Amino acid sequence: MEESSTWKSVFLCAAGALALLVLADVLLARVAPTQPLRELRDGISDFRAGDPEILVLGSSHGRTFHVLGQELSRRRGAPGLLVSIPLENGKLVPYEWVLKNRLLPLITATGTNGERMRGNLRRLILITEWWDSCSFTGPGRPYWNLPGRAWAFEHYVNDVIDTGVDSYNKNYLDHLYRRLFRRSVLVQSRGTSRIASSVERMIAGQATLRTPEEEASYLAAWRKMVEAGEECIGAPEQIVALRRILTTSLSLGLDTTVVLFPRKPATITATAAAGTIEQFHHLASGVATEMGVRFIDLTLGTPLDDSDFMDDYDHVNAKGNRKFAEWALDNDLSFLLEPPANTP
Amino acid sequence: MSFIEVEFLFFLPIVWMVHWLLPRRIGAQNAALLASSYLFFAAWHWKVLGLVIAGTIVDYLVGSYLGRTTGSKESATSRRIALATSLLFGLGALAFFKYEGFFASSINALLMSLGFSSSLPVLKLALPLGISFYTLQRVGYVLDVYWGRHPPARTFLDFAVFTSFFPQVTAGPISRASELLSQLQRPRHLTADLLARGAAAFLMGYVLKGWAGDSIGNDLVNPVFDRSTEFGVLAHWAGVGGYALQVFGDFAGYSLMAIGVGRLFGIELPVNFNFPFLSRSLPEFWRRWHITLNRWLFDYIFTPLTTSRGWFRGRIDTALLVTFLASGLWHGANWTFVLWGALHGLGMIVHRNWDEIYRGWCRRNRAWVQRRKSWWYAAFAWLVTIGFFVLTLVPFRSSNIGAATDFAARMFSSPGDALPPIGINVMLAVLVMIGYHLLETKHFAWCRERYFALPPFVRGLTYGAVIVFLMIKTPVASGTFIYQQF
Repeated sequence: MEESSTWKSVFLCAAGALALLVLADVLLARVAPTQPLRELRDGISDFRAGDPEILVLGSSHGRTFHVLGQELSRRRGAPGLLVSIPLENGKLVPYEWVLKNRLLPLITATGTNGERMRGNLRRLILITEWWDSCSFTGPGRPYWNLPGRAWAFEHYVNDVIDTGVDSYNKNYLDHLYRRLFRRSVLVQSRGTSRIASSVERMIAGQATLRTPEEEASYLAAWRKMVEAGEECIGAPEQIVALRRILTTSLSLGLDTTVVLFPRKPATITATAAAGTIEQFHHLASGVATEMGVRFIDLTLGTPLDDSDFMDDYDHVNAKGNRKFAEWALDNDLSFLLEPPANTP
Repeated sequence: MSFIEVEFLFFLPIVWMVHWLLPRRIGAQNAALLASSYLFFAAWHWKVLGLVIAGTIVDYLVGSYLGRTTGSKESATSRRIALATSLLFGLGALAFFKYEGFFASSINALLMSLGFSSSLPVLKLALPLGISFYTLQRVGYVLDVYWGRHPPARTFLDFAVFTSFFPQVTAGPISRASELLSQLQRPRHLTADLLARGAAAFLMGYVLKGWAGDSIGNDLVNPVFDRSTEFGVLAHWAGVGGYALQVFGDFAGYSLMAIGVGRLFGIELPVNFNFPFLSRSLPEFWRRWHITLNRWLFDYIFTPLTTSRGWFRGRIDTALLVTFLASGLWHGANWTFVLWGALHGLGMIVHRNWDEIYRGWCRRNRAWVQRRKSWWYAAFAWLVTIGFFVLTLVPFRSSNIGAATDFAARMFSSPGDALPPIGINVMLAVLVMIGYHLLETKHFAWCRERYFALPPFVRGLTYGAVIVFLMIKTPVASGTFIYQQF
């Protein structure tokens, strides 16, 4: 801008920049599309707007229960029976935070007549797995998923007053920024290698996310991680949080269930099955039995096969979600088909 | 909150709109700027505001008093007391927060080595945001008023904005009262030219800081310095060379962004970097690198020393050494920075004396004048200047003198043999840095002219392409900001 600019030239310049940004976003969305995912905020909104019978609290795996909820509503002929609250990258301590700070005020909210505004709520299902019981180690404040995914504005302001803006609470604004531009692939993928690697794959003519060598290496890393899980499962603070979640749920008079979420079969070696998976089963079932709540282990006990999981090996894909929903309501979760007898 | 962090994406549009929606009166505009600036400080931590406001009140009162008593002989002593009060408060706070630990631990170590037991408390205090920068700006203002170079601020509001203007508090530029205060004392108007130049400076700064500097730092410099023993001799040279580019990208980029933001509010901040890697002598380098700090050091340390009636009068070499030692100490409370400052002080002395000798040759034989204008003299002078600067960055980047010595030794003989980690990203970033400098030379002036002659819409497309590239390559709030630590 060496020569003096006019408002017209500034407008044309900005229009050119904006046009290219939009064009690039549209084109890159074809190469590296982003999938809008159900987040905790969506669950809170649904809960606030409705009066469900079942609340599902858990990590990103809770998204699978959103599909299950739709199937349940179809079978019982009643909409909005189940609301899932998925906290991405969650652990038991953050689940407890969500229950206490975001859900409890809504559960116990009363109307002008003094009765609960969401009086239909009868059940709470906690979705978990071994990873949720391992604590983060290392410097800084853990549970960075909370500011971004679970905080309301007041939590952000209070934290900034306490500590100033830091790398922990900035996750709140980072996610707000991403939510504001939900449809922009440039914003959603910013700073990750997603776009660059997608373009590279497209140029190389590679149809899959990984080459066979990369796939083998990725699978090996997963297996190693699951096998190593037995060294961290059952972190005291996570188990305390688990007990508190169940205690809170029971104190609200809710029919409470702990569900261990299905894992991709290929990621579970015999060593992992006998170690991490078995040990966590005993740990979680022990707590559930002690607290008197229902316990269902679906880690490997569903008809989901490897093709029902996403490329990340962690989450169930759309086909798998439908398969899981139909199977679960015919089997281990069939009790959801009947309205519960208890009253809060 | 820095300019590349996500908070700033929310902060800037809001305060910008508030500022320009208010009536175009000085009071309203300055009130908006002050509120924005204090919010900026508070985002770091609201407790820091107490220090900022206290210092502002002290220096405003002192400045007003000095302004009222200018030329009054009977009040000379009280004027000196007022000046001393201001300097003690400002520099005392800086010394306490920035240097307490350094001096206490150094004194403890010295006394221990002499056989005395000493345990001065070493407080590990967080350095308040921008204290190194706004302290110098305030000290400059008070001294300018004391010496009668500049009238005092008309109102407290003007002065409070002058000392806390948020684009420059994190890392400068350090403005003189004549540059910034005078702009704050008249209403600003947003012009198309200011908006365009502000946005362009911000974008260029983001390229240098947000992508180029951080890419070189993360991919090349940090691995080599952090795992020095694994790398060979070549990697050590590449690492320290890369660090020169990283620091430049980091700081020049951030300064450009500050200048860009200033323009968006109708305020022109002074230039802080003027293509320093084109320099052919050390004095020229320091007139191009961190310009506002160096002119502050020369205005308020070097010049008073050499022109006063004291011991330093005429002792230019000693004054140069003192000035650059102060520069080193300003950069950080560590002996590595003191060493870095001393090396540059000595470099300046060597250059000054060489220049004297060369001028003598020129006076005796005009052929020496022509030699100095030759391309090979320019190339040699450039190589020596930039080479010297790059080498002095070894202590600057090292955590202690021992680490600096080890790294310097490995630049000639290293147990490791790994090659420098230079990928496509680093190469591209280096090319951008080189291109940025070359475009400023007369040989490439035609490139600039042709580019700015393009239709605005086409230029906009290129800006859009740069933004797309930045969005693909840089995460929000990537990396750290080196000069914020100073």
